[in-house]
Amino acid sequence: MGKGQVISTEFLFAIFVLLILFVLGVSLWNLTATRLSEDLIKTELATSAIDVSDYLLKSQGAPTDWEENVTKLTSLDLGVVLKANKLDGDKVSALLNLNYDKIKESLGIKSHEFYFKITDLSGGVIQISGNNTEVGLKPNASSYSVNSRRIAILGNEFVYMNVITWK
Amino acid sequence: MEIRKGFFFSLDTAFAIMIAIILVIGIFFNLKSQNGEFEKLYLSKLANDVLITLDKNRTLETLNNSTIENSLNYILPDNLAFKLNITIYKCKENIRCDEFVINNTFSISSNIPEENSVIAKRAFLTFENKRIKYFSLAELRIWLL
Repeated sequence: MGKGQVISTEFLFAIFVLLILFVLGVSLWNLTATRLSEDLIKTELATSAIDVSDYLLKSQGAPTDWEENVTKLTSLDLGVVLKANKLDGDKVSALLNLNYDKIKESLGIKSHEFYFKITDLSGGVIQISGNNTEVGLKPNASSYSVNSRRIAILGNEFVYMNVITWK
Repeated sequence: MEIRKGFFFSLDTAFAIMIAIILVIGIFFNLKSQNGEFEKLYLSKLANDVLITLDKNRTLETLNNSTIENSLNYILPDNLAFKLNITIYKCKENIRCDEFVINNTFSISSNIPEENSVIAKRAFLTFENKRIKYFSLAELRIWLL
């Protein structure tokens, strides 16, 4: 006597196997998509952190005396050094007093956040004229962040200039 | 002739899904993260920072092993090892100085096996009585511990 497919054990087994394969496939697909997305974010943040720190450490900004009148500061040209890797205390002070959005605009940062601080080699935040040399938004614990920590000279001291980009 | 199809072509479907899964797994495990490339780029920037700052604060031009080694140990983060080679040249003839000869070379190292290092180079001068005494080339290799 013939049996209908819908009640056969083989059919149920086949559906079960297909379901497992389907669930496995969807999970792997999601995992891959998540990893790709994370990679894209990390790439964007790392590129930005390295570019911004490089620019701040290599450029005097435009005009070169922008710290004396920040309204003259050209977009996409913000530097804080006297010469390569030698930080200018006046320019750093002027940077600390700039509006966060203005800093982001001048550094060409659009789609993520930014935090800047200068520390001594043991990690303590350096002060200039009684103010902590930090500006920007600190990253959340749950955010993706990249820290480009660069070695520079401020006065006669070695310091770390930290540029943290996060999303 | 009787055509026999079973389970809604379940074997064909299973086969197709298995191929798809193999492809997804293949992509997943072969996705090359770019983090390694950025790590190298960052290390390269850091190595250049080290040589520039040691040059700017006139540590390199002392050509003194222990002074340079102390500075390197001081400024480099603890998770980095280094090897610094310095080749010192001087004028072959003092008056014309159109040809150089190697005067000395020395090397400072953190004595940790080198692995995936990045290299930075910098030329610098040493003066004596307001005249150039030596031309030197520093080559710094750093790598993660």
